Amino acid sequence: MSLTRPLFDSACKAYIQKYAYTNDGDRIDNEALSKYPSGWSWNEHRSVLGLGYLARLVSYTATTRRRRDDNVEECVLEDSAFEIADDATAEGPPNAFTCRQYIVFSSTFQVPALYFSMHHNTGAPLTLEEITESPLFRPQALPTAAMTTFALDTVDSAFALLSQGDHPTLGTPCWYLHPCHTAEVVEEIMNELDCVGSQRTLRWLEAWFMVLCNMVDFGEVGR
Amino acid sequence: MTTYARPSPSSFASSASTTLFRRLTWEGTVPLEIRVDTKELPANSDRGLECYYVQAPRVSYLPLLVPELKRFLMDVVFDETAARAVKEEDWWFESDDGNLLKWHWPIGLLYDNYTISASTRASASSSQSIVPLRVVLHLAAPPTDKLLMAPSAEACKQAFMGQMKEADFIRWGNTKRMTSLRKAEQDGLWEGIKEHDFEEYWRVAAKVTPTTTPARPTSPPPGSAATMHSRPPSVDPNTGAAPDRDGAFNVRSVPVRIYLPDGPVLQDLVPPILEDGVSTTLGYLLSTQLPLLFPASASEPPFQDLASPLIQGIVAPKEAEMAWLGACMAGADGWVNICVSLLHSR
Repeated sequence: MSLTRPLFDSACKAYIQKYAYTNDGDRIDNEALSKYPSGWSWNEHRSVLGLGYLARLVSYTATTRRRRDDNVEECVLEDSAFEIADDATAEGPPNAFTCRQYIVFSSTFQVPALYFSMHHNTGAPLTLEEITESPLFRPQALPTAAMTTFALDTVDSAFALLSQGDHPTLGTPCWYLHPCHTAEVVEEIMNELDCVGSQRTLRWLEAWFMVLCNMVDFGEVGR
Repeated sequence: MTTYARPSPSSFASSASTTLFRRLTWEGTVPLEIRVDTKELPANSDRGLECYYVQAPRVSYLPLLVPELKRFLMDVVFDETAARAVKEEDWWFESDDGNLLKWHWPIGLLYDNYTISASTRASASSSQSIVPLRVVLHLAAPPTDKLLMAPSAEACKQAFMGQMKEADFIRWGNTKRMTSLRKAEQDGLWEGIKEHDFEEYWRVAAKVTPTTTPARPTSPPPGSAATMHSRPPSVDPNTGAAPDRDGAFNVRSVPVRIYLPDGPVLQDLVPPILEDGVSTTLGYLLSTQLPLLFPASASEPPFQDLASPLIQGIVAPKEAEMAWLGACMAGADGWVNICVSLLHSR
Protein backbone atom coordinates (compact mmCIF):
# COMPACT_ATOMS: atom_id res chain seq x y z
CA MET A 1 0.00 0.00 0.00
CA SER A 2 1.36 3.37 -0.87
CA LEU A 3 -0.12 6.71 -0.11
CA THR A 4 -2.31 8.88 -2.22
CA ARG A 5 -3.05 12.53 -1.61
CA PRO A 6 -6.48 11.83 -0.04
CA LEU A 7 -5.02 9.12 2.22
CA PHE A 8 -2.22 11.46 3.26
CA ASP A 9 -4.78 14.12 4.18
CA SER A 10 -6.85 11.78 6.33
CA ALA A 11 -3.75 10.24 7.93
CA CYS A 12 -2.51 13.69 8.97
CA LYS A 13 -5.82 14.70 10.44
CA ALA A 14 -6.12 11.42 12.33
CA TYR A 15 -2.56 11.86 13.57
CA ILE A 16 -3.20 15.34 14.92
CA GLN A 17 -6.25 14.12 16.74
CA LYS A 18 -4.45 11.18 18.29
CA TYR A 19 -1.46 13.16 19.49
CA ALA A 20 -3.23 16.35 20.46
CA TYR A 21 -2.61 18.54 23.42
CA THR A 22 -5.38 19.54 25.73
CA ASN A 23 -5.72 23.21 26.52
CA ASP A 24 -3.48 23.06 29.55
CA GLY A 25 -0.69 21.35 27.68
CA ASP A 26 -1.16 17.74 28.80
CA ARG A 27 -1.20 15.06 26.18
CA ILE A 28 -4.39 13.14 25.71
CA ASP A 29 -2.59 9.87 25.06
CA ASN A 30 0.20 9.57 27.60
CA GLU A 31 1.38 6.21 26.44
CA ALA A 32 2.46 7.56 23.10
CA LEU A 33 3.95 10.60 24.75
CA SER A 34 7.58 10.00 24.05
CA LYS A 35 7.32 8.30 20.71
CA TYR A 36 5.65 10.53 18.19
CA PRO A 37 6.20 14.23 17.57
CA SER A 38 3.22 16.42 18.20
CA GLY A 39 2.15 20.03 18.15
CA TRP A 40 1.32 19.98 14.44
CA SER A 41 -1.47 21.93 12.84
CA TRP A 42 -3.19 21.13 9.56
CA ASN A 43 -3.02 23.91 6.99
CA GLU A 44 -4.60 24.37 3.61
CA HIS A 45 -3.90 26.70 0.71
CA ARG A 46 -6.13 29.75 0.98
CA SER A 47 -7.94 29.14 -2.30
CA VAL A 48 -7.03 25.76 -3.78
CA LEU A 49 -8.02 22.44 -2.24
CA GLY A 50 -5.84 19.38 -2.11
CA LEU A 51 -2.63 21.12 -1.05
CA GLY A 52 -2.86 20.62 2.71
CA TYR A 53 0.15 20.00 4.95
CA LEU A 54 1.20 19.69 8.59
CA ALA A 55 3.16 22.50 10.14
CA ARG A 56 4.74 23.48 13.41
CA LEU A 57 7.18 26.03 14.66
CA VAL A 58 9.97 24.98 16.97
CA SER A 59 12.47 27.15 18.76
CA TYR A 60 15.88 26.12 19.97
CA THR A 61 18.13 27.83 22.45
CA ALA A 62 21.31 25.85 22.28
CA THR A 63 24.26 27.24 24.17
CA THR A 64 26.78 25.25 22.25
CA ARG A 65 26.59 23.34 19.03
CA ARG A 66 27.10 19.64 18.74
CA ARG A 67 30.53 18.47 17.74
CA ARG A 68 30.21 15.79 15.17
CA ASP A 69 33.62 14.31 15.63
CA ASP A 70 32.94 13.31 19.21
CA ASN A 71 30.83 10.38 20.29
CA VAL A 72 29.60 12.31 23.26
CA GLU A 73 27.08 15.02 22.71
CA GLU A 74 28.62 18.28 23.69
CA CYS A 75 25.54 20.22 22.98
CA VAL A 76 24.21 21.62 26.19
CA LEU A 77 20.60 22.49 25.96
CA GLU A 78 19.00 24.71 28.50
CA ASP A 79 15.94 23.59 30.39
CA SER A 80 13.44 25.02 28.01
CA ALA A 81 15.75 24.39 25.13
CA PHE A 82 13.12 22.95 22.92
CA GLU A 83 9.61 24.18 22.72
CA ILE A 84 6.78 24.32 20.33
CA ALA A 85 6.50 27.97 19.62
CA ASP A 86 4.04 30.22 18.01
CA ASP A 87 5.00 33.37 16.23
CA ALA A 88 4.52 35.41 19.36
CA THR A 89 7.11 33.51 21.32
CA ALA A 90 9.57 33.11 18.51
CA GLU A 91 11.53 36.17 19.55
CA GLY A 92 14.20 35.00 21.93
CA PRO A 93 17.83 35.35 22.86
CA PRO A 94 20.12 36.02 19.93
CA ASN A 95 21.81 32.63 20.11
CA ALA A 96 18.47 31.02 19.56
CA PHE A 97 16.97 29.94 16.29
CA THR A 98 13.62 28.82 15.04
CA CYS A 99 12.72 25.98 12.76
CA ARG A 100 9.56 25.92 10.70
CA GLN A 101 8.76 22.29 9.99
CA TYR A 102 6.34 21.04 7.40
CA ILE A 103 5.14 17.60 6.47
CA VAL A 104 3.97 17.89 2.89
CA PHE A 105 2.81 15.37 0.32
CA SER A 106 5.36 14.90 -2.44
CA SER A 107 3.43 14.68 -5.66
CA THR A 108 6.38 13.25 -7.56
CA PHE A 109 7.06 10.42 -5.13
CA GLN A 110 3.55 10.09 -3.69
CA VAL A 111 4.84 9.98 -0.13
CA PRO A 112 5.21 12.49 2.72
CA ALA A 113 8.31 14.65 2.83
CA LEU A 114 9.83 16.83 5.54
CA TYR A 115 10.40 20.42 4.48
CA PHE A 116 11.84 22.98 6.88
CA SER A 117 13.47 26.36 7.19
CA MET A 118 15.73 27.51 9.99
CA HIS A 119 16.57 31.06 10.92
CA HIS A 120 18.63 32.66 13.61
CA ASN A 121 16.59 35.02 15.69
CA THR A 122 18.37 37.80 13.88
CA GLY A 123 16.46 36.67 10.80
CA ALA A 124 19.46 35.26 8.98
CA PRO A 125 18.98 31.75 7.63
CA LEU A 126 21.25 28.99 8.90
CA THR A 127 23.80 27.73 6.43
CA LEU A 128 23.62 24.11 5.38
CA GLU A 129 26.58 23.35 7.59
CA GLU A 130 24.89 24.95 10.58
CA ILE A 131 21.74 23.00 9.82
CA THR A 132 23.54 19.67 9.76
CA GLU A 133 25.12 20.51 13.10
CA SER A 134 21.89 21.74 14.66
CA PRO A 135 19.81 19.77 17.15
CA LEU A 136 17.36 18.96 14.36
CA PHE A 137 19.58 16.11 13.18
CA ARG A 138 20.91 13.30 15.32
CA PRO A 139 24.67 13.31 15.65
CA GLN A 140 26.40 11.26 12.97
CA ALA A 141 23.10 10.72 11.23
CA LEU A 142 23.95 12.73 8.17
CA PRO A 143 26.83 11.96 5.83
CA THR A 144 28.69 15.20 5.45
CA ALA A 145 31.35 14.20 3.00
CA ALA A 146 29.61 15.51 -0.09
CA MET A 147 28.31 18.84 1.15
CA THR A 148 28.19 22.04 -0.84
CA THR A 149 26.57 25.26 0.25
CA PHE A 150 23.35 24.18 -1.36
CA ALA A 151 23.04 20.39 -1.03
CA LEU A 152 24.11 17.27 0.79
CA ASP A 153 24.72 14.35 -1.52
CA THR A 154 25.01 10.65 -0.85
CA VAL A 155 26.73 8.07 -3.01
CA ASP A 156 23.88 5.61 -3.08
CA SER A 157 21.17 7.88 -4.35
CA ALA A 158 20.50 9.78 -7.54
CA PHE A 159 19.02 12.57 -5.48
CA ALA A 160 20.67 14.78 -2.92
CA LEU A 161 19.71 13.75 0.61
CA LEU A 162 19.18 17.33 1.73
CA SER A 163 18.66 20.16 -0.69
CA GLN A 164 16.54 23.20 -1.40
CA GLY A 165 13.19 23.44 -3.06
CA ASP A 166 9.98 25.41 -3.08
CA HIS A 167 7.36 24.45 -0.50
CA PRO A 168 4.71 22.71 -2.65
CA THR A 169 1.86 24.80 -1.27
CA LEU A 170 3.43 28.04 -0.07
CA GLY A 171 6.04 28.34 -2.79
CA THR A 172 8.57 29.61 -0.24
CA PRO A 173 12.15 28.32 -0.23
CA CYS A 174 12.80 25.43 2.13
CA TRP A 175 15.27 22.69 2.75
CA TYR A 176 13.86 19.22 2.35
CA LEU A 177 14.91 15.67 3.05
CA HIS A 178 14.59 13.57 -0.02
CA PRO A 179 11.57 11.35 0.56
CA CYS A 180 12.22 8.20 -1.44
CA HIS A 181 14.48 6.34 0.98
CA THR A 182 12.12 6.83 3.88
CA ALA A 183 9.22 5.50 1.83
CA GLU A 184 11.02 2.28 0.95
CA VAL A 185 11.72 1.49 4.58
CA VAL A 186 8.17 2.33 5.60
CA GLU A 187 6.80 -0.03 2.95
CA GLU A 188 8.88 -2.84 4.40
CA ILE A 189 7.54 -2.10 7.85
CA MET A 190 3.98 -1.95 6.62
CA ASN A 191 4.33 -5.31 4.91
CA GLU A 192 4.92 -6.83 8.33
CA LEU A 193 1.92 -5.25 9.94
CA ASP A 194 -1.54 -6.63 9.96
CA CYS A 195 -4.01 -3.79 9.98
CA VAL A 196 -6.40 -2.45 7.40
CA GLY A 197 -8.47 0.55 6.45
CA SER A 198 -8.13 3.89 8.14
CA GLN A 199 -6.04 2.36 10.93
CA ARG A 200 -3.52 1.32 8.33
CA THR A 201 -3.29 4.82 6.92
CA LEU A 202 -2.54 6.31 10.32
CA ARG A 203 -0.04 3.51 11.03
CA TRP A 204 1.68 4.34 7.75
CA LEU A 205 2.26 7.93 8.86
CA GLU A 206 3.37 6.82 12.33
CA ALA A 207 5.82 4.39 10.77
CA TRP A 208 7.06 7.19 8.53
CA PHE A 209 7.76 9.40 11.56
CA MET A 210 9.57 6.50 13.22
CA VAL A 211 11.82 5.96 10.25
CA LEU A 212 12.52 9.66 9.98
CA CYS A 213 13.39 9.78 13.68
CA ASN A 214 16.51 7.77 12.94
CA MET A 215 17.87 10.86 11.31
CA VAL A 216 15.76 13.70 12.63
CA ASP A 217 15.39 14.64 16.26
CA PHE A 218 11.87 15.94 16.59
CA GLY A 219 12.52 16.60 20.26
CA GLU A 220 11.15 15.35 23.51
CA VAL A 221 8.20 17.36 24.55
CA GLY A 222 7.85 16.42 28.14
CA ARG A 223 5.66 18.50 30.33
CA MET B 1 0.00 -5.18 -26.88
CA THR B 2 -2.21 -2.17 -27.01
CA THR B 3 -5.00 -1.25 -29.30
CA TYR B 4 -6.66 2.02 -28.67
CA ALA B 5 -8.40 4.70 -30.56
CA ARG B 6 -6.50 7.90 -31.06
CA PRO B 7 -7.38 10.84 -33.19
CA SER B 8 -5.00 11.90 -35.98
CA PRO B 9 -2.15 9.49 -35.52
CA SER B 10 -0.13 10.80 -38.43
CA SER B 11 1.30 13.96 -36.90
CA PHE B 12 2.15 12.05 -33.78
CA ALA B 13 3.80 9.25 -35.66
CA SER B 14 6.42 11.11 -37.65
CA SER B 15 9.78 11.43 -35.99
CA ALA B 16 10.49 14.40 -38.23
CA SER B 17 7.68 16.32 -36.61
CA THR B 18 8.94 15.32 -33.18
CA THR B 19 12.31 16.83 -33.97
CA LEU B 20 10.62 19.88 -35.45
CA PHE B 21 8.67 20.61 -32.30
CA ARG B 22 11.62 19.90 -30.08
CA ARG B 23 13.69 22.35 -32.09
CA LEU B 24 10.94 24.96 -32.07
CA THR B 25 10.69 24.62 -28.31
CA TRP B 26 14.47 24.84 -27.96
CA GLU B 27 14.79 27.89 -30.20
CA GLY B 28 12.08 29.85 -28.40
CA THR B 29 13.33 33.08 -26.90
CA VAL B 30 11.82 35.87 -24.85
CA PRO B 31 12.84 39.51 -24.52
CA LEU B 32 14.32 40.66 -21.23
CA GLU B 33 15.08 44.22 -20.26
CA ILE B 34 17.41 44.19 -17.26
CA ARG B 35 18.34 47.28 -15.35
CA VAL B 36 20.23 47.72 -12.12
CA ASP B 37 18.16 49.13 -9.28
CA THR B 38 18.89 52.83 -9.52
CA LYS B 39 19.28 53.06 -5.76
CA GLU B 40 22.10 50.58 -5.97
CA LEU B 41 23.99 51.97 -8.90
CA PRO B 42 27.41 52.82 -7.58
CA ALA B 43 28.44 56.44 -7.65
CA ASN B 44 30.18 57.49 -10.86
CA SER B 45 28.19 54.97 -12.82
CA ASP B 46 27.27 55.85 -16.34
CA ARG B 47 23.55 56.38 -15.87
CA GLY B 48 21.31 56.26 -18.84
CA LEU B 49 23.14 53.24 -20.18
CA GLU B 50 22.40 50.84 -17.39
CA CYS B 51 19.73 48.90 -19.23
CA TYR B 52 20.69 45.57 -20.79
CA TYR B 53 18.51 44.01 -23.46
CA VAL B 54 18.71 40.33 -24.24
CA GLN B 55 16.64 37.86 -26.20
CA ALA B 56 17.06 34.94 -23.83
CA PRO B 57 16.35 31.28 -24.61
CA ARG B 58 13.24 30.00 -22.90
CA VAL B 59 15.12 26.94 -21.72
CA SER B 60 17.92 28.91 -20.04
CA TYR B 61 18.20 30.25 -16.50
CA LEU B 62 18.92 33.66 -14.96
CA PRO B 63 22.22 32.59 -13.32
CA LEU B 64 23.47 31.70 -16.82
CA LEU B 65 22.96 35.30 -17.90
CA VAL B 66 25.10 36.64 -15.09
CA PRO B 67 28.46 36.41 -16.92
CA GLU B 68 27.30 38.50 -19.87
CA LEU B 69 25.47 40.89 -17.56
CA LYS B 70 28.61 41.33 -15.54
CA ARG B 71 30.70 41.99 -18.65
CA PHE B 72 28.21 44.59 -19.81
CA LEU B 73 28.09 46.35 -16.46
CA MET B 74 31.86 46.35 -16.12
CA ASP B 75 32.34 47.70 -19.64
CA VAL B 76 29.60 50.24 -19.78
CA VAL B 77 28.29 51.17 -16.38
CA PHE B 78 30.70 50.65 -13.53
CA ASP B 79 33.88 52.49 -12.94
CA GLU B 80 36.93 50.72 -11.54
CA THR B 81 36.00 51.11 -7.91
CA ALA B 82 32.56 49.70 -8.42
CA ALA B 83 33.91 46.93 -10.62
CA ARG B 84 36.19 45.73 -7.87
CA ALA B 85 33.29 45.59 -5.43
CA VAL B 86 31.09 43.42 -7.61
CA LYS B 87 29.89 40.28 -5.83
CA GLU B 88 27.63 38.42 -8.18
CA GLU B 89 26.82 35.82 -5.56
CA ASP B 90 24.71 38.50 -3.91
CA TRP B 91 22.85 39.41 -7.08
CA TRP B 92 19.14 38.79 -7.24
CA PHE B 93 16.37 39.56 -9.68
CA GLU B 94 12.94 41.09 -9.33
CA SER B 95 10.34 41.89 -11.96
CA ASP B 96 9.13 45.45 -12.25
CA ASP B 97 5.83 44.48 -10.64
CA GLY B 98 7.69 43.65 -7.46
CA ASN B 99 7.77 39.88 -7.74
CA LEU B 100 10.91 37.97 -6.92
CA LEU B 101 12.19 35.99 -9.88
CA LYS B 102 13.10 32.45 -8.94
CA TRP B 103 16.49 31.68 -10.38
CA HIS B 104 15.79 27.97 -10.56
CA TRP B 105 12.82 28.43 -12.89
CA PRO B 106 13.46 28.40 -16.66
CA ILE B 107 13.37 31.88 -18.17
CA GLY B 108 10.45 30.98 -20.42
CA LEU B 109 8.40 30.04 -17.39
CA LEU B 110 9.28 33.29 -15.62
CA TYR B 111 8.30 35.20 -18.73
CA ASP B 112 4.96 33.47 -19.24
CA ASN B 113 3.95 33.95 -15.62
CA TYR B 114 4.96 37.59 -15.83
CA THR B 115 2.96 38.31 -18.97
CA ILE B 116 -0.05 36.50 -17.54
CA SER B 117 0.06 38.58 -14.37
CA ALA B 118 0.51 41.73 -16.39
CA SER B 119 -2.45 40.97 -18.64
CA THR B 120 -4.61 40.15 -15.64
CA ARG B 121 -3.95 43.59 -14.25
CA ALA B 122 -4.28 45.40 -17.55
CA SER B 123 -7.60 46.09 -19.15
CA ALA B 124 -9.07 43.79 -21.72
CA SER B 125 -8.49 46.31 -24.44
CA SER B 126 -4.76 46.66 -23.92
CA SER B 127 -2.58 45.83 -26.87
CA GLN B 128 -1.48 42.34 -27.69
CA SER B 129 2.08 43.37 -28.53
CA ILE B 130 4.97 41.50 -27.00
CA VAL B 131 6.18 43.06 -23.81
CA PRO B 132 9.68 42.45 -22.49
CA LEU B 133 10.08 41.02 -19.04
CA ARG B 134 11.36 44.04 -17.18
CA VAL B 135 13.84 42.88 -14.62
CA VAL B 136 15.39 44.83 -11.80
CA LEU B 137 18.82 43.53 -10.90
CA HIS B 138 19.80 44.00 -7.29
CA LEU B 139 23.46 43.79 -6.44
CA ALA B 140 23.27 43.04 -2.73
CA ALA B 141 21.22 41.86 0.24
CA PRO B 142 19.22 39.03 -1.32
CA PRO B 143 16.00 38.36 0.61
CA THR B 144 16.96 35.00 2.03
CA ASP B 145 13.55 34.18 3.37
CA LYS B 146 12.01 34.30 -0.07
CA LEU B 147 14.75 33.07 -2.36
CA LEU B 148 16.69 29.86 -2.45
CA MET B 149 20.20 30.50 -1.33
CA ALA B 150 23.31 30.57 -3.42
CA PRO B 151 22.19 31.32 -6.98
CA SER B 152 25.42 30.12 -8.47
CA ALA B 153 25.64 28.33 -11.78
CA GLU B 154 26.57 25.19 -9.83
CA ALA B 155 23.48 25.35 -7.65
CA CYS B 156 21.41 26.04 -10.75
CA LYS B 157 22.89 23.00 -12.47
CA GLN B 158 22.07 20.80 -9.54
CA ALA B 159 18.52 22.10 -9.38
CA PHE B 160 18.20 21.38 -13.09
CA MET B 161 19.58 17.85 -12.76
CA GLY B 162 17.21 17.24 -9.86
CA GLN B 163 14.27 18.22 -12.02
CA MET B 164 15.41 15.91 -14.82
CA LYS B 165 15.67 13.01 -12.39
CA GLU B 166 12.25 13.74 -10.95
CA ALA B 167 10.83 13.77 -14.46
CA ASP B 168 12.55 10.43 -15.10
CA PHE B 169 11.06 9.03 -11.91
CA ILE B 170 7.57 10.24 -12.73
CA ARG B 171 7.69 8.61 -16.17
CA TRP B 172 9.09 5.23 -15.21
CA GLY B 173 8.99 4.83 -11.43
CA ASN B 174 12.78 4.85 -11.24
CA THR B 175 15.68 7.01 -12.37
CA LYS B 176 17.61 4.32 -14.22
CA ARG B 177 17.67 6.18 -17.49
CA MET B 178 19.24 9.23 -15.90
CA THR B 179 21.59 7.41 -13.57
CA SER B 180 22.84 5.10 -16.29
CA LEU B 181 24.16 8.11 -18.16
CA ARG B 182 27.89 8.60 -17.79
CA LYS B 183 28.92 11.67 -15.84
CA ALA B 184 30.20 13.30 -19.03
CA GLU B 185 26.80 12.76 -20.61
CA GLN B 186 24.93 14.21 -17.65
CA ASP B 187 27.22 17.21 -17.75
CA GLY B 188 26.56 17.40 -21.47
CA LEU B 189 22.91 18.17 -20.81
CA TRP B 190 23.80 21.23 -18.79
CA GLU B 191 26.56 22.23 -21.20
CA GLY B 192 24.00 22.09 -23.97
CA ILE B 193 21.87 24.55 -22.07
CA LYS B 194 24.79 26.79 -21.18
CA GLU B 195 26.00 26.91 -24.76
CA HIS B 196 22.46 26.81 -26.09
CA ASP B 197 23.42 23.95 -28.35
CA PHE B 198 20.45 21.85 -29.52
CA GLU B 199 22.58 18.99 -30.81
CA GLU B 200 24.67 18.74 -27.70
CA TYR B 201 21.64 18.74 -25.43
CA TRP B 202 19.55 16.27 -27.43
CA ARG B 203 22.45 13.90 -28.04
CA VAL B 204 21.98 12.98 -24.38
CA ALA B 205 18.35 13.94 -23.80
CA ALA B 206 17.20 11.55 -26.51
CA LYS B 207 18.32 8.71 -24.24
CA VAL B 208 15.98 9.72 -21.46
CA THR B 209 13.09 11.50 -23.15
CA PRO B 210 10.16 9.38 -24.36
CA THR B 211 9.91 8.87 -28.07
CA THR B 212 6.99 9.19 -30.39
CA THR B 213 8.13 6.68 -32.99
CA PRO B 214 5.35 4.20 -33.74
CA ALA B 215 5.53 0.40 -33.86
CA ARG B 216 5.60 0.48 -37.64
CA PRO B 217 8.49 2.18 -39.39
CA THR B 218 6.29 4.31 -41.65
CA SER B 219 3.42 6.46 -40.56
CA PRO B 220 0.02 5.35 -41.79
CA PRO B 221 -2.24 7.64 -43.78
CA PRO B 222 -4.68 9.68 -41.70
CA GLY B 223 -7.88 7.94 -40.80
CA SER B 224 -6.43 4.50 -40.54
CA ALA B 225 -6.17 4.50 -36.77
CA ALA B 226 -7.79 1.08 -36.67
CA THR B 227 -4.95 -0.52 -38.60
CA MET B 228 -2.24 1.43 -36.81
CA HIS B 229 -1.78 -1.00 -34.00
CA SER B 230 -3.00 -4.23 -35.50
CA ARG B 231 0.51 -5.64 -35.39
CA PRO B 232 1.62 -6.48 -31.88
CA PRO B 233 4.49 -4.14 -31.05
CA SER B 234 6.75 -6.92 -29.94
CA VAL B 235 9.54 -6.51 -32.42
CA ASP B 236 10.53 -3.51 -34.46
CA PRO B 237 11.88 -4.74 -37.81
CA ASN B 238 14.41 -1.91 -37.82
CA THR B 239 16.09 -2.40 -34.51
CA GLY B 240 14.91 -5.79 -33.37
CA ALA B 241 14.07 -4.30 -29.98
CA ALA B 242 10.67 -3.62 -28.42
CA PRO B 243 9.92 -0.32 -30.09
CA ASP B 244 7.67 1.24 -27.51
CA ARG B 245 9.78 0.51 -24.47
CA ASP B 246 10.55 4.19 -24.28
CA GLY B 247 7.39 5.27 -26.02
CA ALA B 248 5.56 8.31 -24.81
CA PHE B 249 2.40 6.29 -24.24
CA ASN B 250 4.16 3.76 -22.05
CA VAL B 251 5.12 6.15 -19.28
CA ARG B 252 3.31 5.82 -15.96
CA SER B 253 2.71 9.52 -15.83
CA VAL B 254 3.73 12.60 -17.80
CA PRO B 255 5.74 15.18 -15.81
CA VAL B 256 3.39 18.15 -15.82
CA ARG B 257 2.94 21.22 -13.63
CA ILE B 258 0.15 23.76 -13.81
CA TYR B 259 0.91 27.34 -12.80
CA LEU B 260 -1.96 29.46 -11.63
CA PRO B 261 -1.62 33.24 -11.78
CA ASP B 262 -0.08 34.23 -8.42
CA GLY B 263 0.36 30.55 -7.55
CA PRO B 264 0.08 27.85 -6.39
CA VAL B 265 1.75 25.26 -8.59
CA LEU B 266 -0.34 22.15 -9.13
CA GLN B 267 1.20 18.78 -9.79
CA ASP B 268 -0.70 15.52 -10.01
CA LEU B 269 -0.40 12.15 -11.71
CA VAL B 270 -1.08 12.40 -15.45
CA PRO B 271 -1.33 8.94 -17.02
CA PRO B 272 -0.93 9.07 -20.80
CA ILE B 273 -3.93 6.85 -21.39
CA LEU B 274 -7.14 6.80 -19.41
CA GLU B 275 -8.81 3.67 -18.12
CA ASP B 276 -11.08 3.39 -21.14
CA GLY B 277 -8.12 3.40 -23.49
CA VAL B 278 -8.50 6.97 -24.65
CA SER B 279 -5.45 9.19 -24.78
CA THR B 280 -5.33 11.83 -22.04
CA THR B 281 -5.74 15.23 -23.61
CA LEU B 282 -4.83 18.64 -22.29
CA GLY B 283 -8.51 19.50 -22.12
CA TYR B 284 -9.25 16.46 -19.97
CA LEU B 285 -6.43 17.32 -17.59
CA LEU B 286 -7.58 20.91 -17.23
CA SER B 287 -11.22 20.07 -16.64
CA THR B 288 -10.33 17.53 -13.96
CA GLN B 289 -7.80 19.76 -12.21
CA LEU B 290 -9.54 23.10 -12.64
CA PRO B 291 -13.22 22.45 -13.36
CA LEU B 292 -14.17 25.95 -12.28
CA LEU B 293 -12.03 27.40 -15.06
CA PHE B 294 -12.35 24.64 -17.64
CA PRO B 295 -15.76 22.95 -17.52
CA ALA B 296 -15.86 19.43 -18.90
CA SER B 297 -18.61 20.43 -21.31
CA ALA B 298 -20.56 23.48 -22.36
CA SER B 299 -23.57 22.25 -20.44
CA GLU B 300 -21.79 22.40 -17.11
CA PRO B 301 -21.09 25.60 -15.21
CA PRO B 302 -19.38 27.88 -15.91
CA PHE B 303 -20.47 26.78 -19.43
CA GLN B 304 -17.34 28.14 -21.15
CA ASP B 305 -13.64 28.29 -20.53
CA LEU B 306 -12.66 31.13 -18.24
CA ALA B 307 -8.98 30.65 -18.90
CA SER B 308 -6.60 29.38 -21.52
CA PRO B 309 -3.49 27.19 -21.20
CA LEU B 310 -0.10 28.48 -22.32
CA ILE B 311 2.68 26.01 -23.05
CA GLN B 312 6.02 27.46 -24.14
CA GLY B 313 4.23 30.76 -24.54
CA ILE B 314 1.58 29.63 -27.00
CA VAL B 315 -2.04 28.80 -26.40
CA ALA B 316 -2.11 25.03 -26.61
CA PRO B 317 -5.07 23.26 -28.20
CA LYS B 318 -7.13 21.23 -25.76
CA GLU B 319 -7.02 18.20 -28.07
CA ALA B 320 -3.26 17.99 -27.63
CA GLU B 321 -2.28 14.63 -26.15
CA MET B 322 -0.40 14.87 -22.86
CA ALA B 323 1.92 12.05 -23.94
CA TRP B 324 2.87 13.95 -27.08
CA LEU B 325 3.38 17.17 -25.14
CA GLY B 326 5.69 15.32 -22.78
CA ALA B 327 7.77 14.08 -25.68
CA CYS B 328 7.82 17.17 -27.87
CA MET B 329 7.11 20.35 -25.94
CA ALA B 330 8.52 19.84 -22.51
CA GLY B 331 11.12 22.24 -21.21
CA ALA B 332 14.75 21.27 -21.18
CA ASP B 333 14.29 19.95 -17.64
CA GLY B 334 11.73 17.42 -18.88
CA TRP B 335 8.65 19.12 -17.48
CA VAL B 336 5.57 20.30 -19.37
CA ASN B 337 4.74 23.63 -17.74
CA ILE B 338 1.18 24.80 -18.31
CA CYS B 339 0.62 28.43 -17.41
CA VAL B 340 -3.03 29.28 -16.91
CA SER B 341 -4.06 32.64 -18.28
CA LEU B 342 -7.39 34.06 -17.20
CA LEU B 343 -9.50 35.28 -20.05
CA HIS B 344 -11.00 38.72 -19.77
CA SER B 345 -14.77 38.67 -19.53
CA ARG B 346 -16.53 39.99 -22.58
